[in-house]
Amino acid sequence: MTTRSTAELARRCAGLLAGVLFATGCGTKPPAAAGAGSALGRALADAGGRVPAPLAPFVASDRADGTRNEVLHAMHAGKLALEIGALRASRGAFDLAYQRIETVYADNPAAAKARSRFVPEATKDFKGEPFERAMLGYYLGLGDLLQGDLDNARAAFRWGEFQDTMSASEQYQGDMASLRFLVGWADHCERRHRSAEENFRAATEVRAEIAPAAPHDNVLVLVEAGQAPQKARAGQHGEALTYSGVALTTPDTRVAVQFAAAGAPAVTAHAVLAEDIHWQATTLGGRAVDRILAGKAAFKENATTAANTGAAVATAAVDVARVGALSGDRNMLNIAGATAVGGLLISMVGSGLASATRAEADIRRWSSLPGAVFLATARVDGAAAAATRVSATLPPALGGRSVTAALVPVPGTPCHVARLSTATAPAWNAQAADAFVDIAAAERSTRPAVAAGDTPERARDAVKTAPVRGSF
Amino acid sequence: MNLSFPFRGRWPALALALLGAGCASAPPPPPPAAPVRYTDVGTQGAVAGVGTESQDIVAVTDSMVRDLLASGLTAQFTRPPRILVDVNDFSVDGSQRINKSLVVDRLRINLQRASRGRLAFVSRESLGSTSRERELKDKRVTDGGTLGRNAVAGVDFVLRGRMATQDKRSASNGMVERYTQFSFELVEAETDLSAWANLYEMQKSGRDDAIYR
Repeated sequence: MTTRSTAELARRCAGLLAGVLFATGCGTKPPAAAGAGSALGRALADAGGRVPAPLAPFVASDRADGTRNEVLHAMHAGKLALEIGALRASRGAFDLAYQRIETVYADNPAAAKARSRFVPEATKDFKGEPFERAMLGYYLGLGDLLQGDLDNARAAFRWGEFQDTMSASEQYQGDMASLRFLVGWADHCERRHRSAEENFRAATEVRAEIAPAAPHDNVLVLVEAGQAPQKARAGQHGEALTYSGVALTTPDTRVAVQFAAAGAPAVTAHAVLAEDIHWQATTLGGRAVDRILAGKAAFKENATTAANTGAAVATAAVDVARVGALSGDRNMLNIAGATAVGGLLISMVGSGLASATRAEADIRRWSSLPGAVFLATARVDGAAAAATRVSATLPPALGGRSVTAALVPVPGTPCHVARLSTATAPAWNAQAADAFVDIAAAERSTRPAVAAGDTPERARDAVKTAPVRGSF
Repeated sequence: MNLSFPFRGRWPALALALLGAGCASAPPPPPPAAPVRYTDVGTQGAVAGVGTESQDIVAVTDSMVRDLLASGLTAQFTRPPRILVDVNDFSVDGSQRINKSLVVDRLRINLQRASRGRLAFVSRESLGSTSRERELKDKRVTDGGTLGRNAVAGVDFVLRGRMATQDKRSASNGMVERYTQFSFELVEAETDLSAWANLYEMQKSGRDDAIYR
């Protein structure tokens, strides 16, 4: 046996032994307990405790995962609810995600644990990257707008834009043109013309192609197309977060939009690119968590080096011990033997630490986001708005699909919104017998137990009010 | 062969360390159920952020009620002036979504209770239902009630309010700061003259765990 193969054998033995120890230890861990009900279920449910059937899987996942993936499930559920037309449920889900992100995690045990070298970043409660949070503000505000709550719509859009300022790279902070424009649109619908002009101008400063809404425009068209940015791991230990997939390379920054109503000639407008989500994702700049992950990767590297060095020392010591044994030098044999055992132990510990160190970046993502948002404004006769259909054919780089939508009135204003989305969603009819799933029974069985010492009256009240949340 | 073994007796500790390190990588279980507890609405709750919370709404409304009643406005009138405190006259201009009724309802109810009849409050929220009842009386579907027929009350003052916020974030250390300002103004419904105004300000800062920055 050569020296090299002996070293390799020693290193492998150490790794195998360490692996067996880990496996033995982890194999005895009990399975994760079920979470305390589903906050998402309560956010999605109507007064009767019913959730639109297509959203029920998110409730089940949320119940199983607890707070760790609550925001992620809420983002996905809210987006799907918007696609199927369950506006109230959509707003509830997005509001839940908003409330969770707004909570400052100053002493959160899961967050603290995620900083540990031996726990992956994905252990933390998901709050999303800045572009995902900003898009939450977009959808949350859109939901408010469609419900006629313009104050909160503006607040949500502004909040979304503020999330974009998390970028450590000063150059790209707060450059969400779509959100600035939407704040202006909410002002426009309330006839706050001066404020609307300011916000439209702010959007134009970021993207010069965006034209302010004309004073008499009463329709906002939003075209959501393309695929969400895909997160990927890079670096030797997967410690760096990067984005794969195709960025919006199309030169077609305009999409032709047709307005058609029965008995009236079709009118064409052009929607311009207002947001490139890939651009927002990839211009984030350095994150504090990147430094933590880099530290973990360096530790893993050092532990691997120590393991290899220990194995090499053990191998060399075995050779020396063999010489000592052949020459009858008992002292040499003892020292070399002890050194071999020491080297083996260092190799074992190093190998164990290296394999236990989890430097990989968190790549959980809001996969149902679009890749780009286009917008246009137009004037449609108020009486014909209900019968007007809006359609657009996307450029080949964005899938080339044709999408159609109706005009949705913004309550209390003369405005309408048409949202054209390439996202696929199951057909859902709220009037169908199987349109909803009753989660009330499931929630009752998982509601928190009443604390000891409460009076029966207080206990009843406590159980009754447990799932109540702020509604807007 | 007499090998001296420097790690004799330390194997269990090493094995435990390795076991501990290995198990630390397992995903954490969801948090256990938490018993329902009553908490004081005037103090910070278990879940906190830099935005307006229950204790802030309590502080804002209490402060405004005290100041309005102490302003001497009520002493100027022989008959209780009629005031409209309506959610539609409260606006939000900032980055925080809020249920405006939480502020307006608490303000109106506490003002009504504390004024002890020195101020009269008009509810425009009820106009739809009172109009229906008036119509039933007009058509003699119902009788005229026990209070007799009267015109719908006109308003002497409108209490307007606004919540505005300004956010700041430090790119270097991730500290987030939100300045929130509540402003209220009592405006004469005939002349638009301002009879009383006050504001409440607060600034909160916090920093998320580094893992979120």
